[in-house]
Amino acid sequence: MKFDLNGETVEVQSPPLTTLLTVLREEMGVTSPKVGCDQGGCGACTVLVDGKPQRTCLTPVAAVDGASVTTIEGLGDSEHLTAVQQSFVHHYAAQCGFCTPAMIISATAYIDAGGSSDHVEIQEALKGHACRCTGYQKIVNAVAAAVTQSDFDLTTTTPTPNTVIKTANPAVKTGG
Amino acid sequence: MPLSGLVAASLHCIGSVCRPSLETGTRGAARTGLPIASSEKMPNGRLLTLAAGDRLTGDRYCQIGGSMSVDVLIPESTDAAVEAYGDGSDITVIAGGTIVMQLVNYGWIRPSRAMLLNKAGLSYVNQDGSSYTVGAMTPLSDLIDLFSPLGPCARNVADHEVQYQATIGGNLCAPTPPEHPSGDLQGPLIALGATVRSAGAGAERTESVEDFLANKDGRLVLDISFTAPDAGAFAALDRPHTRHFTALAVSGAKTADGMRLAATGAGPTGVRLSSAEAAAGNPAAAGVAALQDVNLRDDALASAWYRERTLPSLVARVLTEIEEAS
Repeated sequence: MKFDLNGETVEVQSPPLTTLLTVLREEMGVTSPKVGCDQGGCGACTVLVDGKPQRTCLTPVAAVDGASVTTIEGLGDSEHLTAVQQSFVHHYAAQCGFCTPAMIISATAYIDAGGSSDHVEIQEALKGHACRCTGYQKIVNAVAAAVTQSDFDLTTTTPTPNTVIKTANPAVKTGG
Repeated sequence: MPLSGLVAASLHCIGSVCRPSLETGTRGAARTGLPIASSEKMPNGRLLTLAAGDRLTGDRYCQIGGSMSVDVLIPESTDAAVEAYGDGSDITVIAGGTIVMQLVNYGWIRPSRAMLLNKAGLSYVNQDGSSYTVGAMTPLSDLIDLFSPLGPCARNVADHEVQYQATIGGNLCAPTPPEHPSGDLQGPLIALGATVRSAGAGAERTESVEDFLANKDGRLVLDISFTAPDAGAFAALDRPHTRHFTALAVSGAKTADGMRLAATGAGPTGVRLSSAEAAAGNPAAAGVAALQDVNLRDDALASAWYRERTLPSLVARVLTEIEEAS
């Protein structure tokens, strides 16, 4: 069975009921989805499956046969950060970093779906993610800024700004 | 019977040496007369795609150790799913996976045959006026904007990621683990007087949610039908740490036929609150009457003592909200 991982087709050798999380980390070597609670509660393993955020610890890999999977490695790199990533950097929204990739994945999906910069709505959108560093306020600030892109300067945070969020729908750009 | 071919092929695979799938596929096909469209060699466990009209179009293997082998059936039509399910013996159905995969991850269950329904054409919301028919594989995220009590209940389940993944059919069939109740949507569906269409041994069956829950072993849910009420309301214990489960929730729906009330988290499955319905004219009295309809439980989410004191207020809140809306 095959699926599309960050734009490349990959073939799976693991048994079909292996979780997508295990396949990504141990077979594909993509380690941004983290093993937290392994029961869908902490949010750290979240990736985009066909553009929608999903828990990889609760997804048998057979269920993504033919689907498109996007991890944070598929959003941007150190030279070409997306607006959400830049905003997380600018607002110091990462502490230990364990929850950060999944937070950015869900924040990206939230903004793609037309989410607003309202702090209560952002908290609601990210309620499935636990941050044990308790950095919640900075995370919410970062997502709000990525929505409006008003209180940080894209051109100074990265040499070649790229505000396009590369998800399953490449036509979608960040809000604002 | 095409399935006999699948079973024969799977037994062949469980040996310590896995033959190339082409050979096994051919053997399976030879026994059943089914054409194998394509075959590829993969190690351990198998992925079998069942197309419409019971045709086995792909016969793919993967394997790590012979004894851990698992057959995963992926029917590509509802008919193929019903046939593959058969009488439901020795098959683990995975809908959204949010309940079953926890059990698989922890090794509490080790299915030898599993069926994924994500390609079976069971995800749809058909609306005809105020009548709805919802396919079993419809994710909760497609229900959150529906009327109360169903919409608000779906929105109250876990978080957005789980709502994209969890399905109405899987939630309806949620097992009752010893630790805590689950099956959030059972309450609103009972309150709405929904009917469940299911397949399994014998013929297709359409029955009320209560009848289905009382006798759901060996049944494969196909879809669920209900009518929008004149007014509805949903109230749940709002405690963040209980979001992934249902500590206690009450659903109410008012139609021309009267008021229907149901609770989730008050027993092993959703339960109708008939005594409270009889006293629906007086919310406070109905709340107290509801205690006659339930057998409250102690678990890690809430004690029976706590549930006994909160159930009346949830019932009263639902009835008051419906009263104000109608």
